[in-house]
Amino acid sequence: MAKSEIELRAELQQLLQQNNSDYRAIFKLTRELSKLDKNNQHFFVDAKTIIHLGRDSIKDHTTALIELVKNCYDADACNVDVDVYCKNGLDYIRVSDNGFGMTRDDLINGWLHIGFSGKRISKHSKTGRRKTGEKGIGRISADRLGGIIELVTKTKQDGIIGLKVDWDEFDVDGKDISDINVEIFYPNKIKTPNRDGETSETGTEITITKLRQSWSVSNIENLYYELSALTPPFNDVKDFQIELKNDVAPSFSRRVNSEFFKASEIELTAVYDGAGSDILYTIKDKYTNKEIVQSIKWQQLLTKIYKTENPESSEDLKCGPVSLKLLFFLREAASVQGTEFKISELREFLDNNAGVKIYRDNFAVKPYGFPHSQFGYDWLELAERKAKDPAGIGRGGESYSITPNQLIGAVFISRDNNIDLSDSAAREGLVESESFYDLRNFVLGSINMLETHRANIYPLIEKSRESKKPTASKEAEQIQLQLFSVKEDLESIKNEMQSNSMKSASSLEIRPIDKSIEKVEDITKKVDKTISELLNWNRVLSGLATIGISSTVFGHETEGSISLFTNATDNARMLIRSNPPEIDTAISEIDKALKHSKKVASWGAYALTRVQREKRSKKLINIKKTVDNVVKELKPAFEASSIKIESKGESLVSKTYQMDIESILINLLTNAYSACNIKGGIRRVIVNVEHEDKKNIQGYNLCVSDTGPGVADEFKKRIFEPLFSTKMTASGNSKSAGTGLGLTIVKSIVDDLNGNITVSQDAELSGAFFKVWLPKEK
Amino acid sequence: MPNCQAHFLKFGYQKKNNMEKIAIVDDNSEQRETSKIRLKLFLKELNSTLEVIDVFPFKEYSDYYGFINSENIIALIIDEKLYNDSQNDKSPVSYNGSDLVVFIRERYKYIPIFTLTNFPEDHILQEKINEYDYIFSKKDFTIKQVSIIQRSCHRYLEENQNELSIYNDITQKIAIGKGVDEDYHKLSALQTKLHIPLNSDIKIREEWLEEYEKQILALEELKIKLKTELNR
Repeated sequence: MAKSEIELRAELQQLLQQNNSDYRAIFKLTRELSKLDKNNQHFFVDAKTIIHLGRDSIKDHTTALIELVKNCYDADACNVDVDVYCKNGLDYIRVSDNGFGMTRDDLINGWLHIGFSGKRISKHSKTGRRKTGEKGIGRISADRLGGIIELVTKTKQDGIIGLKVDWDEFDVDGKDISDINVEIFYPNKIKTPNRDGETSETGTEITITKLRQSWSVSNIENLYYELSALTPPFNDVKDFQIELKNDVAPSFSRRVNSEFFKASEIELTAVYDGAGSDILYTIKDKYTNKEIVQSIKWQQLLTKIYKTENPESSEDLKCGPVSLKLLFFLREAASVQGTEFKISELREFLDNNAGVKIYRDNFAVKPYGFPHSQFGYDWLELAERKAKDPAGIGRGGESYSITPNQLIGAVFISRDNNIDLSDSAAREGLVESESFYDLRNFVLGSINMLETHRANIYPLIEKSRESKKPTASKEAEQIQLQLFSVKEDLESIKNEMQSNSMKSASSLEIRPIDKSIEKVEDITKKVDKTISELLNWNRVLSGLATIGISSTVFGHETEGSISLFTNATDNARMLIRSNPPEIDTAISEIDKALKHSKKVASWGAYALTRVQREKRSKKLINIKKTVDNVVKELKPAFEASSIKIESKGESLVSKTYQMDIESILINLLTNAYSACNIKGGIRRVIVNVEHEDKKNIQGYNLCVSDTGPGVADEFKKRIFEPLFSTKMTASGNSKSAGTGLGLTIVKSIVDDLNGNITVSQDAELSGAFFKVWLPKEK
Repeated sequence: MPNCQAHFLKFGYQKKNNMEKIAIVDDNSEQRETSKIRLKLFLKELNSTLEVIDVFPFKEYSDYYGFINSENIIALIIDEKLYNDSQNDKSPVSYNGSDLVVFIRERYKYIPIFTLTNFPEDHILQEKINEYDYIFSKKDFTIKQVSIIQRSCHRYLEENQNELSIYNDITQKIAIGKGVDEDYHKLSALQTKLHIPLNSDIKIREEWLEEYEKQILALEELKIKLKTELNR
């Protein structure tokens, strides 16, 4: 029964007069009193609301943990420790940073104020970082991770303070949010990140226990990559370093290095050693896979910037030794193809890191490259330059310029070696001296070098865009991975429901999830089987098409043998019957007939053995032996056309599909055969097998060279297109004699096997030289 | 026809064997031999006196003119795919049968030419169908096809013999100085048809004879003058 107003007032007065006031009781009484107000009332919030906001609204536990790390970033921390331990009786997540910490006031009026976000008041942190979240619910995401959170924080002003929340206490019916106590405590110490034996005086340490969900290897992997979006892509810089430790996937227990540089189109490094006028450049791009190293004179660089022969500037750089790293990115989906990242992650990474920053002794010098700074973010005036001449790359290299949000850069200087680059006394930044302007020109010239390189490789970029379509087997792999991920997620949900924190979940609630897991497992198996069958079928079709193509080309040989066999036999019969019988000639004709009957039989065997079932499964095969067998089978046809064919090279074994290797080889040999026949004179074809490792991947080459007319430069780009053929008749008749499918099949198989194919002119035979590189699998 | 004159000089009318022959041109020696045996057997059955000769394709087109002329070839059987095989020191050639037939027809417009092929439906061959008398499949090379070849050879030979006879008559007439303008025109036409190298010096030769006769006349006059002087 509700108390009367008089009773409530009396109890309140009594409590207020006590020396050690019970503030909880005072709060409850005033709340009850306020309900008696006849003119004004207010909402009451059910304790469960916090569960809905936190646990239920956060997508997954990785996202929840990332939210906590983002808070570290916003607190201007340089170092963050993230620990995830959930095996061998351990059960905790710890996030510790060396940021500015929270005062008691921050904690009570900020952290405990649901929905409040300091980020709405200021978009940038004290040191100028762009804050990463605005909703003010990052802290309750901790509920998604575990039942209990203990937060310890330390500031210079207030010292250490801690609070403890048991989220499960909110998960009860009929309680008001303010009925649940949040324990405040005052610990003696805080464990902030330790780097090189040093810890910070300030920071925040969050420990979450009673974890709601077990962490899988893929969860940790995902966490690692999401964390990497928050870190700058330069290993040396000490702006924001995250150290991940866990007992689930030990290989990810390491410093989180940004892997996003993998998505960069071009990487440029410039080094000036502080003496003379030479600047050393290294430029790499993901299209040519080559590293260009070149030396440029300082004056030459200035000419590039100012487009004038004798720019007014110092002969040598006055700024002292300096190095620069530039990463150029495109904010498009194609950039993340072949990497572990999503385009949304790349964009977030670019939002966090775009700009060219100056690092002195590996610490960022404000305001250069910082997004909030009016003069600092685009201190190189790249945006203004682009606005003046917005020419796209397609219009030619000279006027093409990049935009600042496509670039992440780091200029490395030091206090000891770059004395002239001193701090400005009046405002943040460096003194704008001659040395500073030299440094600025050095960076601008380097950007110009990058732009010129990009314009030079533009045709390759265009070509790469044309051929971005993933191969059938890669697409199939993606589908399988996605299904596996669905299954894993369902299993996580099931585990979560069965965990201690949710004992209330009845078997009736779990059963449908169990069924779903079974269903997904069943579908995964079926999809897996269907994909395997389809890929196998694709393999058979490629093999059959190869037989078709080779039969068209070598068919003449078989037909010739059949007619020769028939006519020679008939001749022999007539010669024996003639008067007088010509026995010797008859025997010679019978011998000929027999020889050609064997040829026909061997061609039949050639066709039949092409698509044998055992050749369609992946297994260890001797590549050289396979090549030798194909060459042996085709030799009679080649010899019939006076083509000397030989196989060379070294014996090597790789796990692969024999049918794929044979299809590649037969198609290339069919082309070589046709090419040789176009020209008279000496005809030769050489097949070579050799080891070649690429980018630390073991592999091998299958090379086919011939004495034909070679592939004209203008056709090199087109020969892999379906239905395009350069095969001509011997007399050079303009009509194409090919199907235009052989090389398309070869390219498709090579792509599926993660290899590549190139065509050039053979130095020895002077005809075409096809080189197929394939990775070697064990 | 840059080498035409050279081949004429090389082979002239000194034919190796005056018997009329059918030539088989094929790069595949085994195929060539079997076709030759087969053709011979059927010709024998048809009581034909025609001979058969087989040859590996010549490197140069123009070599065929001298060959046809010197060997007294009255029909050719050409394989379509001539560019595959090599023989002894001879490399494979770079043309096919339907290219060769066009070249031979430039000079021998009416000589019977057949192709014996495994692919009678080949589109390149079909495009040149008008250049051939017949296209035969190697699979169906029987006495029926050989009798067609034999008839074509006889027809060609008869036409050639008639025209050669007329040619002989006209040349004799002109030689004795009884030729008229019409004879000169006919001779020129026959030379073209029978592929006898044109001799455009006939009129010049006549003038030369007249000149020669004038010179003899002058000598005669000189002889008379000398005798008169001596007798004085």
